[in-house]
Amino acid sequence: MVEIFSDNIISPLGFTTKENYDSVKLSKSGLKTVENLFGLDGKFTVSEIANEFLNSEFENFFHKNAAEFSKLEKMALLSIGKAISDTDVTNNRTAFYFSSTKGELKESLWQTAKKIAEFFDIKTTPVVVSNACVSGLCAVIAAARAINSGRIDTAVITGADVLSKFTVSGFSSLKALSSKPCRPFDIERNGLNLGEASSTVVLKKTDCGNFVSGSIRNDAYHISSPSKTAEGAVNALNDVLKNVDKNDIAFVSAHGTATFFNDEMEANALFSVGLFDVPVSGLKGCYGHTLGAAGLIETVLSFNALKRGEVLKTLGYETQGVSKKINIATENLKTDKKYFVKLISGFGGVNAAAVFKKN
Amino acid sequence: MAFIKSFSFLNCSNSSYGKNGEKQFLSDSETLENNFLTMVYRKENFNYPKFFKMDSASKAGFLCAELIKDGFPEDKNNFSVIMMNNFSSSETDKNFEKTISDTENYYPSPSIFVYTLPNIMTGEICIRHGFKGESSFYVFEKFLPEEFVNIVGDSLEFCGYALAGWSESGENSALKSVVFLVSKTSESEKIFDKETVEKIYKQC
Repeated sequence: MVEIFSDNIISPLGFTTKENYDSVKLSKSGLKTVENLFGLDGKFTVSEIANEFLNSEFENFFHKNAAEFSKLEKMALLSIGKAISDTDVTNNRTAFYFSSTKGELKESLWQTAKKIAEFFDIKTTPVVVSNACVSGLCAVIAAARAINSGRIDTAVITGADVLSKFTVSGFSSLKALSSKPCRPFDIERNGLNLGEASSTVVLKKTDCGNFVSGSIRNDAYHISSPSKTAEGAVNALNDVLKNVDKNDIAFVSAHGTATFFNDEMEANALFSVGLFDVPVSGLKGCYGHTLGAAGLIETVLSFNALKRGEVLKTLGYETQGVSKKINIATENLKTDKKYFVKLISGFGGVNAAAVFKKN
Repeated sequence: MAFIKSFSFLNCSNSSYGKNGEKQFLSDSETLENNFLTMVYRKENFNYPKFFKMDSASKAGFLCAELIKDGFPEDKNNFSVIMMNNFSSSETDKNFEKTISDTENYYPSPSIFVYTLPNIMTGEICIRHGFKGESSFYVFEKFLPEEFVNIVGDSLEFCGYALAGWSESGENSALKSVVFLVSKTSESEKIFDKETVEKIYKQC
């Protein structure tokens, strides 16, 4: 079996999981509305990591010159460094999984992953998962399978994406961006915000796991619109809920990008599989959409919430704006239930779901 | 254990393509990638107008799937598409960057942007054939038969069939795609292991 052994988040809300958790619990957000972003006209609301803080944290932690590394490298290295500081991951049964959509752009994703793995002396071939916005959760699922198959004992899984003119221009051209802080599942939602972050999960082979199962399913419908019937998300949820009593589910950690179609589809999927009463927690109001890091950040915070017996509220949500009635968390809640469900969807028609539990 | 039911390939460097050991060479020596892909489409009389909207990575994946579609099973719900390459979506990324690099001539194209993710190729194949199993995309330095067989093998534990392949279009290399139809049940004598996969990859 497989367990989450340690984790980290590097974001505008902090450089440790605890700092991030405490900020999210206080409903703090990394989102800021800015003008002249990458020289582009108009206002954009984004979640950006301040270079000066990242550089000083990086130099304090590694005693290396921050100027010799790119922003994405610093975010990823710091996240791994903090997640593995108490573990031995440099043996030949450890694998590095890197989840990113755009990576550095100036080089291929495998080149970035190789540099990161070499920095920590991880000797196995890095596995790069690039499955759109679902990448982070897919990397966790792929790593858990590799551990369960007996090929490796430990997986260091890191997701990272940075803000760039490339992604801001692209999502803007799709008319998917909101110029104001996003409103997941709300009647007034009008698009997503982009964010940058990195997050790491260390998975280990164990006798008593907390990763229960994961599933990846395609809609076979459209390359950039989610299925009207939520078929892929429903199939993924049904796969992972097979052996789980719905009464034992503390909450669902949704994708909740705050685009019209994503949130409508997710609500449809949750309703269809009978999860209409379970509290739904969405964290894009705190981080924006961090692309390759999103699935990992949301898994890490949700797992920590589950361990503490808490449900984190969906920041930005006030009035239900999806056609199927589901139970969006408007306040932080207490829970004594033992499972949470992570749900996520992305371009290419891909959906993923996973169930985690506390022991 | 899993089995290779069939395989297909495209190799732009010598204008060849084929399936299951049959190899055809296009007589026209024009080897420009996009042109080569369109020539294969026309020669095989494929009829899927959406092909012409795709970027060349997705076209290559589409063609490889199309070449061996006769072997696809009835059950599309347990059919996965797992693809890998070395340069993600870099060719389309560069095309998109051209539309945003000049502030005087800034015209980001949504129809190019949607192809700036490597897994769009897997989405196109799923849409074309109605596959509703897993779809995943991985990036490695080069085709690594052992990693390939391991990752696809893991996925077959959940869905019994997979279309899985390596489709590269590198900075300095011509397009080469090799795609396998893999099954959990023994519908062929070809075992899906790293030796067989490597041998087929080299022959293509």
